Amino acid sequence: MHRYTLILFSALFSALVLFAGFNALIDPFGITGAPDIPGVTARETRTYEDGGRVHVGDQLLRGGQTSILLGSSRVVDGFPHPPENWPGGLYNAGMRGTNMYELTRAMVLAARDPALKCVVVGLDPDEFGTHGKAKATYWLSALVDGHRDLALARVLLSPSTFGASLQTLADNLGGGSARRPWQDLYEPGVQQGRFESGTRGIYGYYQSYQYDTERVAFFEAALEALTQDGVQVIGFIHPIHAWRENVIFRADRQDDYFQFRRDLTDVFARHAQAEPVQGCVEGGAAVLFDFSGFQSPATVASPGQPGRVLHPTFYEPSHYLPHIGQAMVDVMAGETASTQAEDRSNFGHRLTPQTVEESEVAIRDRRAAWLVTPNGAQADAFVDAVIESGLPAERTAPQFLNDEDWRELRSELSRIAPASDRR
Amino acid sequence: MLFNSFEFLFLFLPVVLVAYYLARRHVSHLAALFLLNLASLVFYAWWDVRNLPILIASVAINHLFARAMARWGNQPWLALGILFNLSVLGFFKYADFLIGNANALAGADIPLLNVGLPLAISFFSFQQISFLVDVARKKTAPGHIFSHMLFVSFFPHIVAGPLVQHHQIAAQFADADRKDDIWNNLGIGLTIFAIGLAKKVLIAENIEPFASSLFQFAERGGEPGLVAAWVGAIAYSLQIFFDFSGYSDMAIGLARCLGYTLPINFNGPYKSASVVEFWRRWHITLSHFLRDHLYIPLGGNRLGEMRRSINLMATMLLGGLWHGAAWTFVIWGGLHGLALTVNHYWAKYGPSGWFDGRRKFLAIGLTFAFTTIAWVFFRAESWAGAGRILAGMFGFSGWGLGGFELEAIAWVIFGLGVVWSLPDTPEVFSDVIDEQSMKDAQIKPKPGVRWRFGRGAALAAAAIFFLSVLNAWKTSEFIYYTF
Repeated sequence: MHRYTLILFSALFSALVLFAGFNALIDPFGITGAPDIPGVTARETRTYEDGGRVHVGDQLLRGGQTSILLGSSRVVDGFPHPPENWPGGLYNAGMRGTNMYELTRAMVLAARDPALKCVVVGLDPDEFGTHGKAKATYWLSALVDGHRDLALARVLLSPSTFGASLQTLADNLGGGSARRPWQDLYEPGVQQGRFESGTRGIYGYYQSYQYDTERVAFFEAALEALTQDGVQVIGFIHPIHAWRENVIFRADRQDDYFQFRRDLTDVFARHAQAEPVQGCVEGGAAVLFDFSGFQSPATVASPGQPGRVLHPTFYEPSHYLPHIGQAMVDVMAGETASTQAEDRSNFGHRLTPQTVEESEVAIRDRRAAWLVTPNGAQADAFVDAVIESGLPAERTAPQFLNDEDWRELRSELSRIAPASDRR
Repeated sequence: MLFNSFEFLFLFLPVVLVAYYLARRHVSHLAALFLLNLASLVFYAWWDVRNLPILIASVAINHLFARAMARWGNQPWLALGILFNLSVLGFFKYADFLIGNANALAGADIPLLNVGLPLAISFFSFQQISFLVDVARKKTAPGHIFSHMLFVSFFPHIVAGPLVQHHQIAAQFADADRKDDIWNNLGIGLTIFAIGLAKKVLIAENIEPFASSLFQFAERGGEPGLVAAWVGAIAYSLQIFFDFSGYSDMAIGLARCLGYTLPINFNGPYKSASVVEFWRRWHITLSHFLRDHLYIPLGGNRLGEMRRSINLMATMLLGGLWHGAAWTFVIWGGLHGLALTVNHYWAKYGPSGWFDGRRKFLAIGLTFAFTTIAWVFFRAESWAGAGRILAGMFGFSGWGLGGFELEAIAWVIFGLGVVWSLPDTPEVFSDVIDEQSMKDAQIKPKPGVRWRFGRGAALAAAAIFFLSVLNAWKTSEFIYYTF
């Protein structure tokens, strides 16, 4: 038995040390501080993939940011790193494929830092649906418990990190790069195909979409705590291209969509009266902007047939370009959105209980106007064809928040720095 | 602190093992027990330090009752002691349940107490009762309060069992001259622990999302179809088995690392060909507790068939209620009580040997289907949720494949393959588990797969441990932590 136990121990210990050591050395998510080896590990090509939340969690825990910008891949790809013209600077903390569970936990973790003054968070119905509440790499990150050492141990002993390490190594040795930027992927002419395939996929997605009001409540619990403790929370609803936004209506999810907007409006209004220690924008402790609903950048016609130049505002129907993100930052910060080729004079407005119904009417009107354009008619006819083809709904087991999620959130809320420390 | 968390695996456990054996070797057995006590209290307090005084008070007061019984005779101290433990359990676990029901029945508006459930109170309250009964029956002596505290708080089993009777472990703690075969203890203990860890993190954690999805879908008004309902319900049957038996294996392995033996808690329950057999293989220590402290004192099977049926039903209803303060648990217990009764009548009046031979597979399938249906009540948060799932399972909601995923089917097939084709942990390790534990659990190992402690097995154990550690990052609670 002596020999058995020695072999067990030494094999286990060696495997753990080698595995963790390899991951620490390659450091695909940029958190261990290992020295970069030119041509081998210098380019951290996986930082902006799913593992980005590991990097973001680490950065939020280190603190020092006065404002953070949270959101999904729309934020990762649709805003500069960092965005400009924001008072005190804005850290782009976007996380691909995120949702309200992760975003809420990230807000709360960031608010432990008394230096934090403002949280800007990008929202859309996707994040409040019953799809998976967290990516696998979330469970490795400091977002889970706010412990750097434990997060480091989880990251170093994770198969996800190992996969990313191998990929980083291959990228460095072979000259490859991560799945970005979008421009490399969608050459002129290919982009129209992407608009169509994206629209088809999103129809299947919305057919099975279920709006989960519990996620709104989860978000509100954090928003309330942050605003009470002097942080200004600025929400904004993402623009998505009209090709995609039209599918919400065609998949008969417009009630969910408008309910989502009304719920968010109420949530922000309920906490607007708290007093931010140092607001970044006008309008109280909780401010909601709306950039969605067939506004001008989103109705720029899809790229059309091969030969057309790249679309000026969107990579594909779900993701806008960084200059749109920067324009949104400018609007929120109080500056007029810079215009490029399109008329964006009416891009973005505040959403309040007083304006929400009016905005719904405006959305329906803008949609109707867009549908009679050639590109709108083309998009709508395309959806007709998709429906006729009998595309099945996406089949994913719905995921809901549980008691443990709420218990952990409440525990984390108690660790938010009070307003007095933030002054 | 969860057994599968990194703080336990890489900090708590190594420190406790090293400190315990150093204390045993260089200081004294008593010092080592003191360290174990301290470590166990830290382990318990890690969850919520506010619960610690309740645990300590429970030990102190029960110890006084036991001392009083030893000095002045069993009564009224035994009755008072049992009443005290049931009152504590009742206050923390059932007060709001009773108030809620009273409010509903009488239309009253008595405010709920919302006192919160101290971790493991169901387990340690039952252990205290078992301790007092053992003292009353002269099976054990009150012993040193140190030993009593460790009997209750011993970190491998405090949170979710196995339920240990005092006489099963007190003698081990009291044995100051025990030989420490460290290599043997660690080799066997860590291997069993690794198997349990793998059950939890490699299987239960991967199946859990499919079970949770179904139950939460139904709680929110969804009506799952036939396939989705059965896949989700079976997923839960598998999840709870791999979760709880994994925990029990870990507990047994951890105790073994320190040189102590805990009773066996599971033995391939889904291979059972009847509900009677199921309860001989599932949560064995709870079955024994209920048998020894409830069923037999009620008269057991000594007072005729009708009385046996009533006793069985009462025992299982209370067993169900022990799991949680909700009517769904009572129904779960009642269903099992009913099934046990039917089982006894079938054995007596049914066609003899009808389920022998190939039909045994039918019996296994029926037993599994019954336990799966019963688990629906156990897991559901409300009547309505359970009703929607059962409606789906019985075909009242159509085929409806909403939420149906091929990945779920794959995991269910894999899980069933494991539980039906592989022996459970006690059989695999029967060569190194002491005879008394096997006898207590009524396990007679059949010829089959055994863990041979050679080089290849050491590497296999290391590989299982390694893979489990790599997947231990999502540290969700064990199901029985909430009871």
